[in-house]
Amino acid sequence: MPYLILFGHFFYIGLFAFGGGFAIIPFLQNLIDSYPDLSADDLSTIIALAEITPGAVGVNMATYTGYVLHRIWGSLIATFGLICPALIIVSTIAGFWKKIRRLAWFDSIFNAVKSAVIGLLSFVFLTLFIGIFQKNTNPTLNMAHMLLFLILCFFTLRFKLNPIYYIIGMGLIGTIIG
Amino acid sequence: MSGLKLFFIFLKMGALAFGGGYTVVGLAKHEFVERKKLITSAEMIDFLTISQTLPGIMAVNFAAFLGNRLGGRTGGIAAVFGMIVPAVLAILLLANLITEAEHYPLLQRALTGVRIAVAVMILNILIIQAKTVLTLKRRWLIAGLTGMTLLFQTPPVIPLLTAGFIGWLFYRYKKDIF
Repeated sequence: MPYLILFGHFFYIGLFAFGGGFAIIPFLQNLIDSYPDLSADDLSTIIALAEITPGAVGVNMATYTGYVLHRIWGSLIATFGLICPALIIVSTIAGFWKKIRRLAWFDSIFNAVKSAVIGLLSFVFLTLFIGIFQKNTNPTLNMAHMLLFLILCFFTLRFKLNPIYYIIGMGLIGTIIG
Repeated sequence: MSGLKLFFIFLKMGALAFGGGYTVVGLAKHEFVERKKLITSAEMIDFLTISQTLPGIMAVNFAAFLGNRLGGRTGGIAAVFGMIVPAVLAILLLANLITEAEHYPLLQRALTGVRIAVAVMILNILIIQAKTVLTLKRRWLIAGLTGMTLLFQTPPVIPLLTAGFIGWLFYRYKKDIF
């Protein structure tokens, strides 16, 4: 029975949390109120862990919350609950996606939404970009980060680099220069 | 493409997706658009847009759409599970080891490097989107307005749905594609 409730909670989150991973934080705050085993401390651990592990932040958060509540089974059930609505909704839409995509009225709607998503992604970019420089007060370090950013921009625009290499590479450079 | 193959491709991408959901988009762009040439960049933007607009975790929706396109219903499910397996394993491994990432300065430094890389990667996605989508003034307007509303902490779903409505009105009354 507690597993079913846990599944239900995360199914609900998967159905109503729109957008990127951090959209699920307010939902997790609600969970803290309904589960005495979860504390505000857990929430900050969840966010930190989600940042250092690979994968979608929302998925990481569900896995860890489930783990705190009911160990391994809890983590699996919470994660599965979270992705269930997406699997159902996308499988349904994908069935008629090609047909609907060709319709003129849908194309008009979708072009407008595509433009809005560019605005959204620009906002994500700016938040991330500003966050890099806000974190430290050392101007030399900020200059180094800016330089790395510009160099990487140049290389990625010039050559089709596999992001795997430069993400790992930048992680390593980060540990050296700070 | 077979479900098993998709599972392993997404398993690899899931394991390397440091920095959250958009990294999956960047890795998939390299793998399927630039390297394997199985989908066009216009299609990729379609999937990114619809994944962002539907409820649920963006990266999960994106994997489901891409998997569905390349391997049918089984492909969609295989892609999603492939992507989340490394994320779940990483959390389970670290859950008992790390409680507060702030106490690990080396990790924090590596994260700054990763953030710079992810910012560059998102910028690359944005440039492709802008080239394909922002060919008309009215689309620039929607992108700009969306970015502005987000500055006031508006939930992203509001500008996305409003944009869709504007696209519909445009078709209905101007008899043209937005």
